[in-house]
Amino acid sequence: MQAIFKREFLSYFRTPVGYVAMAIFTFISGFIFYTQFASGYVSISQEIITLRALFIVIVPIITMSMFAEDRRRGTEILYYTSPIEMFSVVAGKFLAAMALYFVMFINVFIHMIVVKACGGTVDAGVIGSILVFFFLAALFISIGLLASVLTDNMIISAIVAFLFILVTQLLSVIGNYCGTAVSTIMSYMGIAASTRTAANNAVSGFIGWFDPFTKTEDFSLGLFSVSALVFCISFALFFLYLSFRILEKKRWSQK
Amino acid sequence: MSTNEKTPVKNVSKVSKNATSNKKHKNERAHQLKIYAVGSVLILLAIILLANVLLDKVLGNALTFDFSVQNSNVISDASVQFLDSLPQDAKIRIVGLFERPSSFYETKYQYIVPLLDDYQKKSNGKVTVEYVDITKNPGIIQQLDPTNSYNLKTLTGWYVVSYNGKLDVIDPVSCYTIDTDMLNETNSFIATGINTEYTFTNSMMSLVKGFTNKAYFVTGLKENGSTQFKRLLNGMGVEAVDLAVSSGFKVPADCNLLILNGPNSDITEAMYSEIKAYVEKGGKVIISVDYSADNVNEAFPNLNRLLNDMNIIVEHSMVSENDPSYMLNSKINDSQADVTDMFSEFSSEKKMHITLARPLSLTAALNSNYTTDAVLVTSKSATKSVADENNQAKQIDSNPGKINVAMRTAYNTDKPGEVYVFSTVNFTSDVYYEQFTLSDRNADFMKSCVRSMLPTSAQYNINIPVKRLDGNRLNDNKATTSAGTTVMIVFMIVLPVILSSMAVIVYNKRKNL
Repeated sequence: MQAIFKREFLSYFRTPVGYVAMAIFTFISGFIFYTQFASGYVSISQEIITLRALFIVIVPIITMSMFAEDRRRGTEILYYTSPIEMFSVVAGKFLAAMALYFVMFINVFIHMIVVKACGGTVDAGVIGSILVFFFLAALFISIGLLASVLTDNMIISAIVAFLFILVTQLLSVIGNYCGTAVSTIMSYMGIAASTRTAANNAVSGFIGWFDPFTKTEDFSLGLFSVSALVFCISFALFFLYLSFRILEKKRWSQK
Repeated sequence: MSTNEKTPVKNVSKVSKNATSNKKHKNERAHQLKIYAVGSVLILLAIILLANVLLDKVLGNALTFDFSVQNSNVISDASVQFLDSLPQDAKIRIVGLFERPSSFYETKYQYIVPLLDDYQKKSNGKVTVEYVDITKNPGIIQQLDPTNSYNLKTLTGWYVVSYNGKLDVIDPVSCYTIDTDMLNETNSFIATGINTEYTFTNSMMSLVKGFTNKAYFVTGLKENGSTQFKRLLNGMGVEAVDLAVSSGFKVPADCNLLILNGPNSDITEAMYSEIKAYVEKGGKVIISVDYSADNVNEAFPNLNRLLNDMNIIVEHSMVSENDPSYMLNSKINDSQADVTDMFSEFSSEKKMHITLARPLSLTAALNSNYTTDAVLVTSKSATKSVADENNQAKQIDSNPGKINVAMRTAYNTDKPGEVYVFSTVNFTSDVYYEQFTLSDRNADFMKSCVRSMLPTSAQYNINIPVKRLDGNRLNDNKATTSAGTTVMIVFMIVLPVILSSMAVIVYNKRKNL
């Protein structure tokens, strides 16, 4: 796993991918930071919250080449034929992407130093936001990795990851729409208003329950919820396991 | 021969049999692997879902920890003690008249929603918090306010606190203290402190303990609305009711505070006598008048007669502030006034917001039965103006000086009557509070005035300090414009350009490989 991690992490800097992702992240985080700095009020939590929206762009860039690039170069067969655990391959690549995220995040650490130097505060809300940022990064990278495993083409992999993450980010909105749709259908069926409202709430609540952003938003207020972190990490593990199973299937179906 | 001929056939048959067996074996193995793969994924998913649901629903609250600097998201011991002191069967219902926001960070609900959850968590079932969208469920209005006293349908986004049929409504904005300088200069709301716990705990306390005082609002003098001021009083445990002007005007015996909020026509002769007698018997009165288009021709002779007896003259003109540092938005009739030293404890702010104020002055012959003091005064550059025929301010007094815009007069007996006169309606009017909210500095000042007149209300008022929110403010000496420019150049230009250049270099190198 260590070898895979090292190879994968360094590969980000042997191709433009790592630099492009870092440049985008640096510019946007710099823009958010500068806007706040100019107003005299800087909230690092707010900056990190805004940066979470960048997952939708950065994660597909980072993960699209994880397995698709190996397939293109023909090095994929090495994973199948070498006596290594397939899960080590998945974990190594996942940790490499996480490490790249950490490198990108150094930028925000520098912002924090500037804020402290200028008399601002870095409180528990900021620590919570950072913690959540990496747990969400783990979740979305695992989704991106799964997208890369599913397809042979880098572009399709990026699009699939983009769509997966987009849907995840919009879960609360989708939940509300579905709830309203169910309520509307029930009203055509002549069902009582109280039942319709209950059904609306149940449907939107059920779908919204899967929204990782809603679960983790309290961290920026200094409220740390263990269940939210467990949610992110358990689903990240699930997607990694799913990727591992798909790769295992490919390994055993090699002719 | 026959054996020789037979042997290969036998071998071929054996190989074929083995191949078939292998294939069958492989298929079985593939099938088993498939079942194992799909089964393990499904089992893992089920375990994850179950564990998360259990953790979220059963242990979610227990495994949530507040590490915020001022514990902004948990209620303090004072509120916990209040909740504990409630009878076990007490049911306080807090209803947000909107859907619970899925994301409330950086909204006005940021420091309200988690705190209300904590009330619910620590009340042992005595407090419930719910969110109801009144457009989707309009029946909630009838359920909460059957008499439509609060016109709840206009209060989308507010909270309603309900106890045994009694209601209080809370504007989320009133849960914050606001940077008034920023509000006046840029018209933007910057919260400087959190007042949420104070607001909700005292609201619940008022409803549970019942109103401890009763304020009567005189109506029928062409006055404008008093809804906001009534809410301010309700929040302090003071019941607010209307008292219509009539020929036989009488101040009710249970009146603790009489309020004339922005009359645009003069009081009657009967009112003059009745209010004077009321004050001399120890009554408390708040009077606010201004110099607006609605009363520009009104000199208030009877009101002046009443106040003259108490050493105060309400002049028939307008205060013009000429000191730019006191003016707001460069207007002479919208400015600030200093709180006098005697009343400096009424507010942490030293200046109050006044608009269209009439000058107040002392009568030439002072009535020794009354002690009269200035409460708010303008800068020493203020002058007096009147409205000309085009409704433009025309200066009538070229001698600048300090002008009183609020005064207090007290009747000197064992049980002193007390009258506060404000010559601007910025402390009492709906128009003002709808724009600047009940967390404005003027509202704070007015609360202190009321408290000073109705001291018994204090015993039902839990004092929960405002939690400051100024942590995000940078030091002005360090966060200068040049520092901002450096930040922009380094983080938005230099670093991204270096990284982009690296990407181009790496790309070109790889292209040539």
